[in-house]
Amino acid sequence: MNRKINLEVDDRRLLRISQEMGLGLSQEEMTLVQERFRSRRRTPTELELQAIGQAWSEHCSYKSSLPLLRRFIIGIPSDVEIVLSEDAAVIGLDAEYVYVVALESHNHPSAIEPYGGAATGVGGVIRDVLCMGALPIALLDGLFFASPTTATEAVPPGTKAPRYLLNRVVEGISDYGNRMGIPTCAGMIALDPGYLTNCLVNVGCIGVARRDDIVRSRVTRAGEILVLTGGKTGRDGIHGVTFASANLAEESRSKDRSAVQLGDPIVQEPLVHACLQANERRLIAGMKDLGGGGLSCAVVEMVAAAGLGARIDLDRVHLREPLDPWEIWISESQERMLLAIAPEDLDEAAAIFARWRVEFHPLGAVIEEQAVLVEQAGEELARLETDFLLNAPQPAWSALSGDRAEPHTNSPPKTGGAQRVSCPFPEPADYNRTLLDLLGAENIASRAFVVRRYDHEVGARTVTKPLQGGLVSHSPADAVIIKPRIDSPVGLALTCDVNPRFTARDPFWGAASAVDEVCRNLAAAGATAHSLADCLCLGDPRVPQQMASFEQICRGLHFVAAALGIPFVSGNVSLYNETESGPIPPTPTLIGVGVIKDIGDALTVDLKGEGNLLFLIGRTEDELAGSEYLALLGMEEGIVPKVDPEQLGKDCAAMVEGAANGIIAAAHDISAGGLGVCLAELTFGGSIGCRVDLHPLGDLRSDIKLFSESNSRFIVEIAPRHEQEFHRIFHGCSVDLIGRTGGRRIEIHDGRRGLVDLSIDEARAVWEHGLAKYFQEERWMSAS
Amino acid sequence: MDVCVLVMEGTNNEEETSHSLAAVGLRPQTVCVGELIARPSMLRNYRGLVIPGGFSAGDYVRGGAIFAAYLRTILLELEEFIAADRPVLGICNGFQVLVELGLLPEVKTGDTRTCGPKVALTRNESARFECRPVRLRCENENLFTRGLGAGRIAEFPSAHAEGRLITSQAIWEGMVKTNQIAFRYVGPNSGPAGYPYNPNGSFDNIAGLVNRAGNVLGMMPHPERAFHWYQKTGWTRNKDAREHGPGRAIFAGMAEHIKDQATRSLKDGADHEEG
Repeated sequence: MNRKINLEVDDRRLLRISQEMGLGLSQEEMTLVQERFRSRRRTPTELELQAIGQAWSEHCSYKSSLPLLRRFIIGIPSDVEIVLSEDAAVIGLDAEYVYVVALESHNHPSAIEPYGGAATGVGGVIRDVLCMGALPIALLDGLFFASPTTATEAVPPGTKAPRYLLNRVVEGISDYGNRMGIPTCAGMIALDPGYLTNCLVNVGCIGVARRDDIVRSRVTRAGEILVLTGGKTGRDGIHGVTFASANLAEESRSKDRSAVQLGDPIVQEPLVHACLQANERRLIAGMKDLGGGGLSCAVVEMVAAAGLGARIDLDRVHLREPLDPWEIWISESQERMLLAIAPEDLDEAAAIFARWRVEFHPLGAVIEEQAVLVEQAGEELARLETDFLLNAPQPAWSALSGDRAEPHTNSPPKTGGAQRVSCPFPEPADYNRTLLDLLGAENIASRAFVVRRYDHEVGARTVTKPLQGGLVSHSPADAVIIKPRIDSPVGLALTCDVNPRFTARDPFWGAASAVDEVCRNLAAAGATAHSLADCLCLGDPRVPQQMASFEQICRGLHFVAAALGIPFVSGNVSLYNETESGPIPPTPTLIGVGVIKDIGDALTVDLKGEGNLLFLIGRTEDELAGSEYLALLGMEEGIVPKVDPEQLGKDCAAMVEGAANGIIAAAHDISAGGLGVCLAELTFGGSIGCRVDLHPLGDLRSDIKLFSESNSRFIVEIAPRHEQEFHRIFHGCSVDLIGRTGGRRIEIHDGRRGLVDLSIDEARAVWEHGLAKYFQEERWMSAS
Repeated sequence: MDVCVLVMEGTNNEEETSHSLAAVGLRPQTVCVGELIARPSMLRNYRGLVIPGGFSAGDYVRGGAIFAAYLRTILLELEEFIAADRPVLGICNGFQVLVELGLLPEVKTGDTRTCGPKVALTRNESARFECRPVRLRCENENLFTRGLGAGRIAEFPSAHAEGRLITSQAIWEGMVKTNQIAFRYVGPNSGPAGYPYNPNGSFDNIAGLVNRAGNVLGMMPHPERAFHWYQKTGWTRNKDAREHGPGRAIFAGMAEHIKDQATRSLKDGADHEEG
């Protein structure tokens, strides 16, 4: 049934139509639709209105965020070659190869159905990379939940317990990524009460392609055949995008299951082979994955990009169950790709897909007219004018706050509060206890339990692993290095970072800190930051506070990235991460891709030898706001760490040079938990201890030296014979000799005063079990 | 020198496996299981057979069960292939397939087709998928492990959810007596392996099996991920030692065997094996 919908009604009724049909359109938007059809002198069909609802959703149109993205994020000048930026970004790697980056959020689906939501998030981002003609070679994920210790009484009605969400999301990623044979090799998990009713699941994928294999997400000429391939179309994921473009109400947390797609990696795995093989034989003119908005968005965007249109026969769509025409048109069933194939290549392409036993159905042809004509049984169900669909009206709140001063841009970072006379809280009586508490804290404790559930080595490209050091004991990696080409020593370093404790307290410096952390994680692996992808997750954009935060986030990202010339090449905006309990902390999840010329120069975190020198790179300031140390004390105070991009650039360049010259034995960036946690983590992988004196850090109180989370800092291990060379390379950086490696203990002094004296085994045991204990009782979960 | 790399939906280690084969001078050819079943005689065109790792058909039933069900229809051809001393290697999911088919361990109780599996590779004791490096002791010198040598201890990556070998006392005794245990997990100082050194709780720390003739090897850990120096766990702890990973020896042994066979059949002056 394709009903006609009479829009010649009053405004209140118009909005009711939008709500009843689940279009997600505002009254103003409905009025524009009404005027459009009035001017065309016809009554819209159900399918036409649904198509407009999809195209104009926040998720598909970026209508709230685009002005800010255009000003601060897109188009940062750099030397990096951005070959294409479509469903994923295609970046020049060398003369013959490109790498591909995609990053997506799957937040609302994961809050409702964590296993399926996370799994289909992975599936979708893999297809984003595939549709550029690239082989997907690595997955990353940024996960954000409330603490798994949250008391049951504190979980609002309709919300799933954080511990359940965490376990099921990890299972979903593990089951999908492992079955696809794509290594999940980097990521992060942050736990904060702000994600209680709205968890975040951000998934990234990296691909590699020969330059001549790159495919556009568009058709080329009229007459080409549009082919739907892969999974069958069913009633899952109906209204996924409109669901993702509204706040997550209590009611929908418990009821909107149908908006969540179902995933099957074993349909997608041969689909990847078939698409790449057909592409290798130059049979594919254009390729796009079916994601948000289903066929509707894919067909419209693919033909509109070429200034063309299409005629589509819905009867040709292979269905899993009987569906109404509009459902076929907007279903977000997974594992589907839309291909544009020249008529003369159709048979050869069909044979390849048959060999892999993948469904392959020509739906119709590309036409000159700039409209998509949807037909069934010879009857025209819709005439979708592409320019109308793809120009969503911009809401008033998307306007930039033009009159607002630019508070932070170009302002030099202050030197922090070192001049402070007294802290409003006492120094720890027992530093051993404090360091152990931090090592076991849920945002610091080992993620090994999760990392091992992901096959992070399939593909045999993972050169430095997420867990570094020995067979069983390990240090946590700063970045993982993969080797995209078998015949070249070049490596790609991958990291995923943001600290929501910082962004919640200061969106600008929090966002700036995220870029800093990406750069230093890559540098600590010996790689130069090359490109960034951003997944900007915030609350309801209609709330002025949220758009203000959004703007500060964008400015903070720009401040550091622009100064260093690192472009944002791909991204995603997820708004409406808000419930009755409030918005999430503003969360700009970043993926950083670094390039290392020779993987043989890669750095790892685990200390390598006895009697080596330990140097601190970078300045430690009194910047405690958002630190794990204050969280442990239950205190709010101080400022969020600032960034000096120029110094960061120098430090990172020196790290990369030091790595290339082979003088750095081990390196670790300083982040959550400060210098103290960093030192402990350095010792875990190689079971080699350290003896450190904080005296060179000056007059700060010892706990601030040990636990401040100031940016742009590293600890490096240098063999005594390389000391001179080290000082030459790190000339222009703040460098302090703080100790030596050796023994089986972590000993930290401040001048004559002893602070920490722990055995590595004791510290490591606390660190290893801090988070793992919330995964132990999973037997009952997999049985469900 | 053509080697059949047999895949189906969900097999996903074929690329690195093929690379390993090619790097030791063999010619890997990817064959979809449907193609082989439609024309089982094509097996004769190959000098070796490798079933790579992955999650064939999703492994929703049991690791390798569906893949093995397809192959059972051509078991006769597979047995001929093995009897002709052609090497067969099953890695991870491929090992599960060989066990499901009843080809490993080899128990002489009559017709294998009626006997089915003798042991099972079942869900890890931890009840979850685990990706972690393991240390293996080579227990049996055969065509695959010539380059390693019996008694050699080496590190391999492992990544699976169903790798725990369970069996009966009688079958285990038979395997030991007929020298069919190819690899065992070992713990610190080469001692017995508790978790996590034995990552799955496998009985008698068994990580791999080989048939009596020594030309069918199945193992849970991944030699194709331990081929180059830069794939080894902790290679950055000793950057100057750029030795191959231990996995290379297994593929090199296979290549050597195939080349020997080819030379021998040339010397014989008749290609009787192709008959």
